[in-house]
Amino acid sequence: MKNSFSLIIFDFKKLFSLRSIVETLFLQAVMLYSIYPVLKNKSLGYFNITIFLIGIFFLIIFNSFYANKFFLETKQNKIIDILLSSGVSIYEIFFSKLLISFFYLFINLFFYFFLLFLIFKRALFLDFYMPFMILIILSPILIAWNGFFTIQTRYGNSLSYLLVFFLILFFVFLLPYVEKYKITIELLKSNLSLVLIFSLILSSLPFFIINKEKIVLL
Amino acid sequence: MLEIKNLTKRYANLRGVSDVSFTLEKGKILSYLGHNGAGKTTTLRCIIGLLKADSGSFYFNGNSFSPFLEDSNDIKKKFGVVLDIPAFYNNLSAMENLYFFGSIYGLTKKDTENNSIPLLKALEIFEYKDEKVKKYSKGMMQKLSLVRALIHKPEFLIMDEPMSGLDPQSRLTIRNLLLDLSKNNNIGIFITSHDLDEIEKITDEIMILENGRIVISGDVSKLKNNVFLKKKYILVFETDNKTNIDLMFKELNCPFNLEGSKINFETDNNIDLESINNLCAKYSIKLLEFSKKEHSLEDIYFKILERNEK
Repeated sequence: MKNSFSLIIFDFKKLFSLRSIVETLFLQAVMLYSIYPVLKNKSLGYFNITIFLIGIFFLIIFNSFYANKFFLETKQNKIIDILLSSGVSIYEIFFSKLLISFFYLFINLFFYFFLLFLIFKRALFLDFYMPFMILIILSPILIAWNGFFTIQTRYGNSLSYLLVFFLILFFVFLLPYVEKYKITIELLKSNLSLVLIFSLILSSLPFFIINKEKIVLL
Repeated sequence: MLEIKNLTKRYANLRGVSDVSFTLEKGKILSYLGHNGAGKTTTLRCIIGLLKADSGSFYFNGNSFSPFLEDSNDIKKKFGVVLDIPAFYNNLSAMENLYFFGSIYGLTKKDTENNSIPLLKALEIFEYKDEKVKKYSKGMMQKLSLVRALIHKPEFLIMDEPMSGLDPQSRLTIRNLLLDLSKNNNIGIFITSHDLDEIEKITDEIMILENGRIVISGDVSKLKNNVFLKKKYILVFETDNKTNIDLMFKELNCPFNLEGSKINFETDNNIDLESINNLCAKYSIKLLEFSKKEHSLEDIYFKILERNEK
């Protein structure tokens, strides 16, 4: 775990670089701009599920961004080879990258929901709170699988983008069914423990199939 | 001591390495030679745990370990590794990279500075330590890789093609450092290379790998005297009658190469100055100079490959 700590501290410091701050501000601006028409015109129920879905879109996009930032950078520069040959475990590397990506994602989503709450709909704290919680709970799945595709496949970068592309298509496809089948935040809220277990299982699966040799060879 | 016994690694469609065994002692430089695809990098990657060996045993100071398994990570921290491609965070400075890699070995910033600054100075990149690595030339990156491999004072240094693509000055600098590390710091160095001239200047022992198998290994000076290599001689003469030269070499029973007044020839026999003097006198050739030419590592390398092809 000592190595994980060094890896996390190293990546954590990047969060406070000028580049990271500019990236975060830019993404926040894009997110707020995308939600603005909905905030102005739509009903509460529609608004509620829409910020959730827009949150998912951004979750996916952030995810791809962080998979590139943390997982791909390590693989492309062969830094992973050096770390592995220096006695760092592949699990420590994967876990630390996952954790730091999750942290960055958390910060971004937190600001997104916090600004929504603060600027536009102060009275709707709970409506913001739940979508945020559910997104945060689900995000490790995406990070873990995106990270896995990124470092353990030959065309990791492209496959990672492909995964993101299909996820976006999936949600676009899902959108008309949200109102039809009454997929509400309340539905997810009532099954929060199931969502949590689902997330834990799916996000830990890559740890069982990760293969150091494939990472080095591919 | 690092000991490898019967290492075998095969890929699905490609040949890997078979039955490779050797011992690397502290304070010695062992060079691993072979053409592209011979299996040098595969061997190296098995030793540092990037690839899983199909079979074979690994011993570090007499204790068995399995480099690919996570429980050998403490032993791997006693190695310094230089890979064929320098691996750094390009947007960070050299020193920031070294702090990071130092932290992996549990070094504080101060320890990293204490250990790396003398090396950065020795390799003549100290003044660029605060430059971003993306601005570094290939040679500078290669030198920085060497510093990184040494910041934790390893017992063994394992290097994959460290001299490739370097200018003569950089080669000289790295060569001097490697010699210093092995002779004065008692570090055992395992080095794969194509650069036979450079290797010859630093190595204690060589191993030549062909098609995944070691075809010969041992002390370079002993290999140079190996029976299957003919002795090389140079003779400088003065004569008006070149037919006599033909006659003399007919008697010597060896082919020769005439370049003006200089003859290069190779023979299985030992020829000393007295016997060549007698022969020259017999054929009215005035001998000006006679010397035995040392075989180079390149001679040994190609001779062995040629012998194996037969």
